[in-house]
Amino acid sequence: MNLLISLFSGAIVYAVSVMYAGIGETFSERAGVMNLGVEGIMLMGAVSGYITAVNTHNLLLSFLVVLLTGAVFGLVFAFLTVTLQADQTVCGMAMLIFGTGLSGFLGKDVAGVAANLKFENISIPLLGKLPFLGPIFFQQNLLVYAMYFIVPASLFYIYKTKQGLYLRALGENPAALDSAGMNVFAMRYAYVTFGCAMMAVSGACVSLANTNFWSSGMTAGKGWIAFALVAFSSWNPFKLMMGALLFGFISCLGSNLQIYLPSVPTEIYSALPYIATIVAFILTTGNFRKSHTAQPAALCKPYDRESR
Amino acid sequence: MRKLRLEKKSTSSGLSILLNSLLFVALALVFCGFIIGAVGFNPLEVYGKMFSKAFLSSRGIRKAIESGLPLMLCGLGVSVAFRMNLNNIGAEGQYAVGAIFGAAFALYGPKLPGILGILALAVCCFTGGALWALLSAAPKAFWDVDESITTLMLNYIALILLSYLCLGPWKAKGQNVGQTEKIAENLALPEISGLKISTAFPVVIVIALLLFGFYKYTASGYQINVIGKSLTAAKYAGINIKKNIILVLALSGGLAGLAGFVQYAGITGRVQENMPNNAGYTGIVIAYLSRFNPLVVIIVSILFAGLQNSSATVQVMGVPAQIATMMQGAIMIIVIAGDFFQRYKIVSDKKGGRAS
Amino acid sequence: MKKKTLGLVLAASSAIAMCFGGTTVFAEEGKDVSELVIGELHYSVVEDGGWAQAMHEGVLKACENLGIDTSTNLLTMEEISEEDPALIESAVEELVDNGADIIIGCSTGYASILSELQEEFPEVVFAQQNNDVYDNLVEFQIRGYEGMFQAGYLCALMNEGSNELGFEASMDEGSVRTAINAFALGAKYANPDATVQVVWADSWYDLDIESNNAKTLIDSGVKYMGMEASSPAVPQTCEENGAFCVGYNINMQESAPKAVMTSFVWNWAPIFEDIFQKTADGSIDISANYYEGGECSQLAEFNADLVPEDVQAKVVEVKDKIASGEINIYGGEIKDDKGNVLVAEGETMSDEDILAQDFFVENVKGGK
Repeated sequence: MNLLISLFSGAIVYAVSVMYAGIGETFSERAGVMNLGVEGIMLMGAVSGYITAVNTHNLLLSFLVVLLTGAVFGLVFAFLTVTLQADQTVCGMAMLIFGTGLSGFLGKDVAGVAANLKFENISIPLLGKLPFLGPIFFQQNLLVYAMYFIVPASLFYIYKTKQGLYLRALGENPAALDSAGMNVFAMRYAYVTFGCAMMAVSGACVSLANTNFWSSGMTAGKGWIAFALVAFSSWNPFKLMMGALLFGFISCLGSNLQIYLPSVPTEIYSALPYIATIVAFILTTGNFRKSHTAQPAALCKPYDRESR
Repeated sequence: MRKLRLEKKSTSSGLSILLNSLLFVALALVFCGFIIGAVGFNPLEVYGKMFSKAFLSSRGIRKAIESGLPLMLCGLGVSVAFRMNLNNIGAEGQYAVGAIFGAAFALYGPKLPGILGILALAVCCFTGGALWALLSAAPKAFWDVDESITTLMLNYIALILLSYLCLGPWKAKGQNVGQTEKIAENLALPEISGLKISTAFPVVIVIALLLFGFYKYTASGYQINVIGKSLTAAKYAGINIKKNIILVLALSGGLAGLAGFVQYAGITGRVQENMPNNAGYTGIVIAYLSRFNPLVVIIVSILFAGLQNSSATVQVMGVPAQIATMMQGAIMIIVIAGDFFQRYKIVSDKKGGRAS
Repeated sequence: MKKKTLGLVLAASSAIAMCFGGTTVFAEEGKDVSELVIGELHYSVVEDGGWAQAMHEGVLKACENLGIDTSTNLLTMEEISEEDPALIESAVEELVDNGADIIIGCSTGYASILSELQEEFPEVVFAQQNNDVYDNLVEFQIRGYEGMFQAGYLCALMNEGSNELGFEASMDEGSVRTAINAFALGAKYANPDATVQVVWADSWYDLDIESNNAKTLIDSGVKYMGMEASSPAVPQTCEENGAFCVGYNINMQESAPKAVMTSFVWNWAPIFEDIFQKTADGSIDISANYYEGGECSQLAEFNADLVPEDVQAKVVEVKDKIASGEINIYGGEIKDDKGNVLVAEGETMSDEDILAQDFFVENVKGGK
């Protein structure tokens, strides 16, 4: 029982830390802009939040700085990809490299310095006391609780609101939106900026929630996992959540299996989350299924009014 | 009232592309100069030293070529796939598996005389990378499963496999780092006498030339371009898409696998635990910056490697290593942004005209 | 300091001197040590909170003790990838151009390339963290097992009423096995029934996996654990779940004050001091090999809130006994985890076997 509780709660903690970035990327890609720089922006979020935490001891302020840092990177990225119509793949890689370098540089002074300030686990009254479910769902930190609302809210936004309809059109057929008098450029700017801010929050999950320190390159590839999960989820936040939970669950399971099933080389357990993701991805998106979803048609294509 | 507006250029010549790129590299340097100045150093002095060390000395160029070799092959591999709009993010893993196959041949393969051994080694590395890419190509061709995710995930698996082998069964005796035994003398690529450059370099140039010819003069190369431009058009033309997906991804992976070959047989002489070291990802950037032109890939790779190596020069002057990384990112961003002015020109409109 | 037979070493180095057509392989004589210019090569940034930081602090401390001005005479090269020979070569050339008398390779992966470069720059001394492999490099290594033995001993003493200890390990490499085995041997010294459950990250650096592994150990009933990982992820996970650990590489107490009892720390300074001094006065022997324990392989100060004074005293006693030779860590009888006898009663394992560590000792569970 304890084992199950810790597997599930571990999976949730892991999942949430990639889901902020994943949801950010989902909105960005839905709007037609692919951002490969997730890892770099996460690192910027992680470092900016941690520096603020060390210097001000104010968690709210740290969180706002994280959002702001992400948004600034988002504006730059939007300027490059939307206004200048630059290639999204290279821009993303450039953001990745730039963010990695800048975060390492800025973080020099706080590396090894303890902030002793983070999103602590809070047990929700009554719910936290529930047997089994309590420790899994209701003894987590604020960023996890926020995610409980963000997933349904983003689902609602994308599929049930007028704005969501425009968002989907933005990634499928921006010319039609333009003809209808909508400002394609402004909308893309908004979603790209929002997406980057969310990626930065994922970074904060790493430096201010799951662990509480800064070290250069500390996200160690999480950004790429988030990026992969977005396509895995067919740009649907619910499926994204399932994918992230699956990935987190299997990596937690792997470390347990090392103890309880020791005859298998541990490298197999380490590779298991990736193998499982590939298999699940093929099974859920292969066109042998009827509900096969393609990527947004305008993804990676800069909108150009003149070639409308 | 005069108003500025943008107008699309109809064509752009090779020369103007070159000039434009140079202009924006220069702008990028100015921008980075501000960063260097901001952390308290004289940008002119820093640049002067960087260029003289990295590009104006024969030693510097030799080292840039050496560091650039795996980047070139990853860049070539990636650009083959991207030409057909296949997002192969898996060069990193294909490189690793290429190296694994190479090491397996060196360890267990038959002893072949002379150049035959080296050729067989190269074929093994190519096969390794190609097979690894096929793991993504098959689902893509038959079930339309997005290749960017599968290639990316396969990178992690390949790297786990590589480090397992290098730290485990294949680890060199007496070493406490994860690497295999030194490659046998007859399998190592020799240096060009006098130049101290590995013969791998002319080999890579030949590969690039062959690719160039392949794109330009063969029917298959033409088909790849057609599919890349428009899938529907290709279907109407009766081009076999499935076959092309398989072939192109296999070729792309095989080329990345050859990066393992040049690094193993030409440079390190050992397969190491973390051998690819992000070359596969850098290859993506290089492929894009070269606009998938195989010959330009070679040049851009050397420039990239030179910039990387010059981080040593910058650091010894006291500039932190991260600044060198940032500069790489900044240069890329600005050069990409400059691409915009390749496609548009700014014209001033006397009548005010339409707003845009 | 324990050294190889001096005669052999001298013979080897003079043989090398001959190979280079009579050019001297020793640095010019009689330089004042404060004028020594030192270059160091790191694969990451030096503020990595782990290996590189410990090494860099060792260099700084040695410089301070010898009166070397680190702002002018210490050249630090960061992010020099071990997989890129041309980059390493560029870094070394830069250091030599800037007058470096000695270049330190702070990670084992530089060894083979530095050995080649030594032939190109015979006037420079190359010091490399490595086992004794190359004849033209000053190689140095710390007997990490001495400090890890104390760490295991401490954990087993604290772990009253239970025999189960845990260990979070990164990758399956010789140095990591050394840490695990020494921890297990130390635990056994305190409690003959103690066992150490290892969980592997299979990665040098991955916070999620490290935290997961620590959590898994805690869930399986482990309360005290050792670690061989480069981040405070394990200590912080322990803190959240009411478990305790011994930090690694550097003093990690500040990152998790309620969980870190002490930390295993690398103290490279004494080795560097000796190498720098000898380089300066020209008496350095470039085939020398350092393999030091004692003050180099230590535990940081105890966390007084967590470790009672009598336990502290017992650990210090063990430390003294190791130093005096009363405790022979690799003295027989030692069995491996499959029951084979590794070292017979009354014998001691050779340094080569200690360094290679292709085994796990008897009370390790989950070895590879």
